[in-house]
Amino acid sequence: MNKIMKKILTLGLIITAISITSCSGVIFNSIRDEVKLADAQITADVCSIFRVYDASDSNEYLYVTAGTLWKKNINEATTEGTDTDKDGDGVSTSKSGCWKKATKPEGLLNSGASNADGEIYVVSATNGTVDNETVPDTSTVYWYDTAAPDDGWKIVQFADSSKGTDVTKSSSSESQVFMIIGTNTPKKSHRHVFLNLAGTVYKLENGVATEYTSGDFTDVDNSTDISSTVCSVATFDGSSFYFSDEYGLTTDENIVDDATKMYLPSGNYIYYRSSSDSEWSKSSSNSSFSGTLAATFTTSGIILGTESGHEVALLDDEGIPTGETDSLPNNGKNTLNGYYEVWNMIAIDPSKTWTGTDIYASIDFEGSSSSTSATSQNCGLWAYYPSPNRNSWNRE
Amino acid sequence: MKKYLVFFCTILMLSTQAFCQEENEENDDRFAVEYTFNEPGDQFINIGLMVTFPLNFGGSFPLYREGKLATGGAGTIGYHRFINSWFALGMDISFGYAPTIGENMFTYVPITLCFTVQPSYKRFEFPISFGIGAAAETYLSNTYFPGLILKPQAGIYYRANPSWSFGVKGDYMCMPQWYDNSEYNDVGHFASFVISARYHF
Repeated sequence: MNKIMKKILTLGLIITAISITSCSGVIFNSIRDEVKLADAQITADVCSIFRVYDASDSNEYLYVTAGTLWKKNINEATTEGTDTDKDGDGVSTSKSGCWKKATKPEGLLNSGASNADGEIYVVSATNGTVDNETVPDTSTVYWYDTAAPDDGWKIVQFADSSKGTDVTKSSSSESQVFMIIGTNTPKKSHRHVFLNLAGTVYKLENGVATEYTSGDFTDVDNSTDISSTVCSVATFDGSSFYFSDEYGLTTDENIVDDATKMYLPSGNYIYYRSSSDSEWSKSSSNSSFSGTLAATFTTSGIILGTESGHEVALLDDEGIPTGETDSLPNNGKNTLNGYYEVWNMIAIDPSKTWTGTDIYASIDFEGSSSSTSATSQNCGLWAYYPSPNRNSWNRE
Repeated sequence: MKKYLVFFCTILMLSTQAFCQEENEENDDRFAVEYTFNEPGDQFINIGLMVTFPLNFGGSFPLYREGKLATGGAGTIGYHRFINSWFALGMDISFGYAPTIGENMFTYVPITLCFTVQPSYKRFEFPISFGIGAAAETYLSNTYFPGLILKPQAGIYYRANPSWSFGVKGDYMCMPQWYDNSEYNDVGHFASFVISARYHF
């Protein structure tokens, strides 16, 4: 047999030998979990997903700011296990889809939150025209009282008149932080809204912005100064608050029970503390925790939305992060995959597992479709509904 | 006059002996020539385009749109060499894709070592091959490499001229996947219809 044939044979045998011992990412098994994608109703950049108690009908809603304002009745998903559970079927889930456009103020909405009284606060940005070009103009904080729907949307006012009247930010201050953050808790009574305006934190109540200084800055070095870049807030009891300049600050509070632990993803760690702790503890290091953009608690683990899809930080029996991770079951790993950034994540009933409650997430990506494998058609709001509803993730 | 006639007829009869040829040559096998299309050492390069059908991911022929994987396609190129008039050995490289129901894409690049037996009849050639090799398989950010590939094929070609033949093939491809966690073990079964050309040299 000549040299060429010998070389071909040898190469073929080597390839075959290597292939028998191969292993890597799960492919066919993941493909079998895929589902046919539904037509999306909310496909814009989603800025906020927050809970709202509507005082006009005493129902729980989920609101989404994505330029416009969407709302959905999630009362069925929030009543399981409570005295007001109507159907008692043991399943915490609402119907898929069913989003409606809510009334909104002028401009494009970005951040938003609501409080225990059913007041909704949003930041709305308007554009102006300079030399026939559309440019950012003004950002304004508006509020809406669900107990007085006829009053419509109004501009929030400063409590301290020396700061002005309307809470706005002009385009000349474009680099300043201007962001609404809320505790967004499952318990209505623990919901509070704050505004970070150029590094000063204000509490928003009754349409008035009052400067707030008594919170704890929850940086992982246990300092207590509120950072100028604060972007999240959490609470154990609804009366004292923890602020962080890290995204993903969350607790294990559920519809019935107060929080026992607070969690803060930062760098390669998950920091955690109880209400009685004076400082943070941290999990084992795991690079999968870095780049966290959002977090929500379930009894299966803390589901993190990251710059590269999602991760689930696993917990031990005492709710302490182990440092290990997993991926969402079913088609969650295919939909919230590493090509996308997951900016929002919320489990409606944190007392359930990751397959026991409705979970909503929003995804986006950087760059262009030609430079990544992401597609703009998948950007927007996604949701998981447990069995017997759907038991899979799909577009909303 | 009669003498000239007799002399002329005698010359004519003798001349036939000069031009009459007897076959004295023996039947010599050393000079027998038998022409075949392929001889040991003959080589060919094959190129082809194929439609690939996923057989065990649900859906129905021909598009499998309702299945988890839909009908895809692939291109292939290979080099083969005859070790005798009937058997050839070579390698094929392909690039294939198949869309998923979730609007993602499964891609694979198999490299196979092929053993081919090729009977022929007149200008028609009937290659029957068995390929074994490895593939790089990709889906989203997951890569499985190298994955085992088993690929029997059969086809029919028409030898248009000594350098070119054209034909069609059908093949079956088996792609098993094994993991440390055995619950993820799976196997993909695919069937392809190939239109191909071969350059012989």
